Amino acid sequence: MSNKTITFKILRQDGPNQPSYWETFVIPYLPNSNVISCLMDIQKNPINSEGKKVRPVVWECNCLEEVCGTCTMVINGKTRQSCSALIDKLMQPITLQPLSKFPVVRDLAVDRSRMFEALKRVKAWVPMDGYHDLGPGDKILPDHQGVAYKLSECMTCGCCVEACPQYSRDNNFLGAAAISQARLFNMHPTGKLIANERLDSLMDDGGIAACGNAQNCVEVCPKSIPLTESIAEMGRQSSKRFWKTLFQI
Amino acid sequence: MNSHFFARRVHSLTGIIPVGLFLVYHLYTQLYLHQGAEKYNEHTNAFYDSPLAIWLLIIFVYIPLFYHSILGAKLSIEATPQPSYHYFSHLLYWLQRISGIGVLLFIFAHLYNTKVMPLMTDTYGQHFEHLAEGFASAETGWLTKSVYLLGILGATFHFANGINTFCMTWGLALTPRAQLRVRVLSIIVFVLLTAVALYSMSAIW
Amino acid sequence: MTKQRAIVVGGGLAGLAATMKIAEQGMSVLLVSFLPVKRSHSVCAQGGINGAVNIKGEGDSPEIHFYDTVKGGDFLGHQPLCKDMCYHAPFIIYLLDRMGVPFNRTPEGNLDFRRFGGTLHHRTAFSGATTGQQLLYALDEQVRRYEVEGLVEKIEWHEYLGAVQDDDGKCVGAVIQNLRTGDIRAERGDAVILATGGPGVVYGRSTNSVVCTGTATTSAYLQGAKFGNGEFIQIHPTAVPGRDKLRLMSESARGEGGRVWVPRKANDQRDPKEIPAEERLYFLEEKYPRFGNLVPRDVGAREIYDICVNQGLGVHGDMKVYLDLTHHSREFLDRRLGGILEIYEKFTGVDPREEPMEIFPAVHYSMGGIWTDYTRTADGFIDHQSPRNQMTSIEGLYAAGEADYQYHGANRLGANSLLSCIYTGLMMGPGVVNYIKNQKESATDLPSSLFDKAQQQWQEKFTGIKQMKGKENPYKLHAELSETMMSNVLIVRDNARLAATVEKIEEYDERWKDVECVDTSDWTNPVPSFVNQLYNMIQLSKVIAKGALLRDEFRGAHYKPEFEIKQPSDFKPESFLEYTKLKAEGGLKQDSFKPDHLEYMRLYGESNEKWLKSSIATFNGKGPDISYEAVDTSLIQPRPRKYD
Repeated sequence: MSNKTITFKILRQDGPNQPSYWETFVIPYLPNSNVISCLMDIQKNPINSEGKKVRPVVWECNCLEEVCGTCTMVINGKTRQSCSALIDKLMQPITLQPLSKFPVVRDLAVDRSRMFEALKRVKAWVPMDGYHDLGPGDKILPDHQGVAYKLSECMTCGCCVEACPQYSRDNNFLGAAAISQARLFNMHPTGKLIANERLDSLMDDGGIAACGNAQNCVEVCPKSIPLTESIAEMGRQSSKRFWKTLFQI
Repeated sequence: MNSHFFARRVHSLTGIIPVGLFLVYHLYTQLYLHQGAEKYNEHTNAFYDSPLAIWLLIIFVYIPLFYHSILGAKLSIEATPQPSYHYFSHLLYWLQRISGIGVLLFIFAHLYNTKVMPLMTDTYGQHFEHLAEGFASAETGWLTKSVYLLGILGATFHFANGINTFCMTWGLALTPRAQLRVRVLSIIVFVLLTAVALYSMSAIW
Repeated sequence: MTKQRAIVVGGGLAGLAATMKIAEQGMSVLLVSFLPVKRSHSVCAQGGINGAVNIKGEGDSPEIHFYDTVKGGDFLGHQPLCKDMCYHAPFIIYLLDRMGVPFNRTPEGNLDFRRFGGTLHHRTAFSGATTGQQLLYALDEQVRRYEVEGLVEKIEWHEYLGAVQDDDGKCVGAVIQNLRTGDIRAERGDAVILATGGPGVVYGRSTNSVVCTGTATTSAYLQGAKFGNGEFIQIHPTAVPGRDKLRLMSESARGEGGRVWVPRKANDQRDPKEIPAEERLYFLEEKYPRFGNLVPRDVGAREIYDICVNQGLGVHGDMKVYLDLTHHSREFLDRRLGGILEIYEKFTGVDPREEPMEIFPAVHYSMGGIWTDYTRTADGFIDHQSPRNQMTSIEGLYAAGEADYQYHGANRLGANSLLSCIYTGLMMGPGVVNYIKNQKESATDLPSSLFDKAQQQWQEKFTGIKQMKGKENPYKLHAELSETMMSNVLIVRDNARLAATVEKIEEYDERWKDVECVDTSDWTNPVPSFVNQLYNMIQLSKVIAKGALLRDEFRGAHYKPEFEIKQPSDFKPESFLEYTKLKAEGGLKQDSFKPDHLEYMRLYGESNEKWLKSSIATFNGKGPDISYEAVDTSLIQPRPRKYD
């Protein structure tokens, strides 16, 4: 057993309107660790670096294979999923902070409801007549599927909006994820039947016009979704609608 | 569509047409600096003194510029710094905002230097002399030169990068490849305009 | 009558499918979920969803799918349900397609299908290698639509604690806990559906997500619901070992041509790419020429275990074998398997497009679950209007998806889980609505004392938990429990060790009482919740271990070498049909079959007679009582399985 250790500096907060504070934990190094497995170790032995027994750190996680989006946090200053943050690839001490763009629930857990509300705003669904047997859907070519699949991989994890300088707690910007979902459904054969309703949402307050082109979203997206392409595409669609509406009045 | 969307689109549009185009024309006319005081003054006066030009300037340049600046400044202030994300586009994002505010301040200085002060001293019309004297002044020459240098760099950058974001906003460049092409184009525009401006300035440096 | 509604617990595929089907019929739904539903464990399903659409012109049909499913489950599946599910599968795939699931396509634009384990047909529709994620999102989007319309009320970050039962034991609501505030309250509902997934976390590290503790289903069992086939835990042959979790490496990797092998020489330290073909042992292909790498999961997991443990041929002497995709082009792999290969690369730092992956079996799925009922039609299908469908032994309490027990028998076929989840959700919808409409009294009109009592009971229980000041850290105790389960109730099972395990679990049960609630704060405190989950996991472990101990046979995922009846290598499963026919007609003679075949069939027949039954656990106040119930095998006669 080696004497190697891992040091964590964790920004903790006991509740929504409580002050935040840093707490340091030093735990034994084990090979093949990631941030979550270390948080689990802390949970089993919640003692901070001063040797004081403290409440275990609260965080959210679920799938642990970077497909559910739950465990997003700010690790060494950058937003990412903590399950795929391998200890061997991180500089120590490792700092963990909750996402800054959402209300903190406790410690590293935040409330990302706003992102799901954004999906409601852009009507991110295919309108359907019913769930009975209506035969197969439209034929779709592989290239079209390839684009749709990539967009559909978005797990609403919040990385894109966390890194976005235009997205803040006190504005109502939809964020890249929702804009990209609008694109996904506007390209579906039946989804596009309500394309204009989605565009109207995008052209409303906090819609696509709030994008400032910093392009951090596409850089931090863990699923490499072409978010700026989506924003440009929705920019184009809303431009068309802009000119159309302008000359219809 | 709501007012916010409309306002942002108009903001984006005014940056290129007409304000951007005016910048190009303005920098082009500065090439007359190399032809000496007489030619330069003649040309500049011919443009600014016609009654039509004043109205055209107000409608097509000053008002759009005013609008573009005010809204731009407001948006810049509202942005949230994200200091730990070191990406090129993100750098450009901030440079765009900083240059925008910088250029706005420069425009005030520039207007004072070339319009207000000459009018006050009743020497309006001798554009070349004002510029050249300002640059040559033993005490404040260095300051004037620096301000102009920064102002010009800021303006050419803001315009060139603006082309880039304009194409994103309006959906003219969709794919990463197209966006790369636009970026290359904007770099060429930046280099070209800056070169022209610096060359013009060299006449009175 | 005041407005009625259903409560759906769980926002995975089954829960969302049930929600949207019930909402479609105009019935209100209260959807309760531990996490935002989009983060449910269904996202982890990778390979695809089965449906015999026969796009490749291979002569595939729902009937063959039905047969493969029942055979794959070693005939322990309830046949009318399996049949109805398989016949509905093509429609379900079309429905999902219409919903916008970006399924992979053929060049002509049709749905593409790939191969999966336990079948010889291309029957699995897929969306890259994150099919579960894509299906979940599509259903989530439909439910969001109903949410906007006001038919569905979604409450997330709430955990189901137990059912509210009226004086007759009928379920009329659910007690739930707000995981943010810690508040416990009883919600009224005319029917409650548990779509709460599997219990993989009982085993600590598995391919399951952190929330898959099986707490909700165990709670139903503790309240008196029958629990079926608990001992049948599927071990997935290919997972990537990790400290916090064993990450699934989809069966689709083999469906797309991935080959499993080990160096023929034990402890060969060479780089795998330097080992020439003749020095590699493709053990699955060698032993099962017909199905090759695509044998069912129980078979695959056993073979890999055998190679590593009994033959000592694991890679570098470890418990690992190679899963090799390097013979495919990068473009092909990225298009069809991108998602899982990225995950492998991210978590191991090795590019599976260039290097063979190192994998090992891991706990993956529970074929067992809460006992549920159904109503069959004369021709062997299901009457979709029947309120009995998917109802547990507690009236008004339903179960769906991995939480139920009837579809997959002793072993589930790959890509049948997504199907069974969505199928049960959709199938049960009309019956649940009928059940609710047939109620004389709406749950809303029932006296509040009923709900107050249930609420108070749970509040007291949690107050008790918070006051626990013992010596045991609950997380450590859980680690011990899971270690015990992992070592003793896994691929190969042995009665002596199982008996010791059953005792050991009793010990954990005692030690649980000495747990310390390490965080007693009120706000967003996951510890009391976990202590309660741990209690349920201990109870469920008893069901699994005792069921395994008592079932003295080898069936599907339940492998006891002691009771294995060796199949003669030249045996044909169809002979058994002939054998039973002759036996029934009294025409069976000593020379009707080869002597070893005859003996094998005699033993197999006897064993089936005794064990081809669902094991049913009922809670006796301390632990499970296990009894056995007949399985409807009237549509396909059980016979020995054979995959080589």
